[in-house]
Amino acid sequence: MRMPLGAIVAAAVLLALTLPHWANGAQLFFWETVLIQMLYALSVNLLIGHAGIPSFGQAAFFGIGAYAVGLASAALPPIVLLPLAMVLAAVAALAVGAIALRTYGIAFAMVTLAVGQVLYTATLHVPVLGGENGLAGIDRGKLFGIALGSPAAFWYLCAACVGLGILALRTVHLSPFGYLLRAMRDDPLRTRFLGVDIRAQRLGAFVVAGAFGGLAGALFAYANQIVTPDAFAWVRSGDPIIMALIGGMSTFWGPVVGALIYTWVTHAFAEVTPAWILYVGMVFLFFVVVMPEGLLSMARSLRERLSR
Amino acid sequence: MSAASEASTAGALCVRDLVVSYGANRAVDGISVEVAAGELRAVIGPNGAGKSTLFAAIAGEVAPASGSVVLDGVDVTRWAPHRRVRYGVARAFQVSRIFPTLTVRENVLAAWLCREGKAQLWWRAVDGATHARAGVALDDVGLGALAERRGDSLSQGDRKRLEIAMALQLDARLLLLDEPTAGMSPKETSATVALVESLWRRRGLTILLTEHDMSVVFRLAQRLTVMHRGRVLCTGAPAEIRNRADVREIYLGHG
Repeated sequence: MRMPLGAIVAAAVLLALTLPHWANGAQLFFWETVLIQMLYALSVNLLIGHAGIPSFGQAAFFGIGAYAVGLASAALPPIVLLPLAMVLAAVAALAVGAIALRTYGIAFAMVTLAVGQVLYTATLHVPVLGGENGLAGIDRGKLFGIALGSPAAFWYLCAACVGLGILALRTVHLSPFGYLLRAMRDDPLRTRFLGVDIRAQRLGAFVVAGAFGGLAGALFAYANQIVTPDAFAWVRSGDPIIMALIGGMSTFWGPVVGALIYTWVTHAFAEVTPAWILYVGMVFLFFVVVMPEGLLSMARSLRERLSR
Repeated sequence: MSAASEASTAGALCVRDLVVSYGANRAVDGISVEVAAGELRAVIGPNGAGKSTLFAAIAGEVAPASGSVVLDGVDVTRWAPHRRVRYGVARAFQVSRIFPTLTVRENVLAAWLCREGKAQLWWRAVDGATHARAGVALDDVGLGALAERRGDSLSQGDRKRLEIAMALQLDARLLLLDEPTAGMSPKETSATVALVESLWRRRGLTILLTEHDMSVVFRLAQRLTVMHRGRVLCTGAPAEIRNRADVREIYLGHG
């Protein structure tokens, strides 16, 4: 009784291809947000759920990706700017990680939180970053001669990027590096005595997570066509953790499911009440109390119990 | 012939004047031990004699205050643990350490990937043949039937066997086993003794082990080193050690 992964992926691809034919612009935008959050939550979960490195500052890399697009969208097309945003975020992660990863646990979480907050403050005070108003009028440019200004054209770009991003993260998950990350989370000392350089391994995880966080941020900026300091805000570091928790941190697909639920619930409540955050909090509490291991982990253990 | 001579030239350990201190306590207080390549040596002694600390220093987990650890003529005293592993030192811990949330097969797979130097390979999924290989390695230590179980669902005895299987993936020339049968039932103990003996005979590696169960020690070891209060009391063949009055005395608690 395994999850029919192939069937689900095929259905998702079909849905993505046909969506512009029956969804309006606002709905397309909503689903773009869902996809971007999926990618972002997956990158954060690689770090926290699989490598056991509790970062509370992934917004730093999301924000770097977003501001890279905000600053350069007029000069560079997305096909250059999206990879560039990833590289910039990866380099930043390398620099931050080289210092922050000297600490562990809560101390590490605090250092990463501080890095995110420093960048947030910088966006407010550095004139070229637009201050509180951020950078508006982001130009989506063209891809292979097709203007991406229309909602449908951009939807396909966004879906393709997220699809490739998920594929890449899935490959990392199933790679030797991925297995050794989870081994390191389980028992760092044992992993060292298998011959693994723990510092390099932790830094590697931080860089990969940073790069894909940067890609998510860049797509987010293109989707919104404006980037504000909110891209660096600490809630932006917290949201993907909540998504991963809801879906199940110990699984690969958990953050994807969690991002879908969280984004949808937030959206639904925000439409009907200004106190939406209260209700989102209650939904989150429900998940943490009833299924602390997350939705997919619970489904998995249920399946294992049934198959015995 | 060439295989035999290869085996007999690898894994020679020479520990000289080693001192390891925890604060004011010199847990290892000037120890020198020589283990020939291909030898199966047991280190025995009462609790607190410094056996586990000696192992930790050989593996690189603790830094000695002075003295040296030389493996096959190369001084590894200042090497990081992961570098020593790659050079051929593998260990199993006193309280077995495996990966609890990985499956049994993934535990062995992780060790094999390390030996292949692929811990940082992130751009390609592990292929089916490599997964299958890990399953075969499990059959080798009699854990094949448990391959898809989670690590933390294993009994203590099976955990120890799994850890030995993982250490063997590393293709070590020196294997450190810290109380390989601790906490095992008599049946598990005898199975593990048979396993260690057959692996040692087949692979020609050097094994250094500590053990409280004297029947295990006398069945396995070629030579014994007796430790007491951080020092070496004596080294010799099992029959010789068994009859020494001073060894009997420290084990009776008058030391």
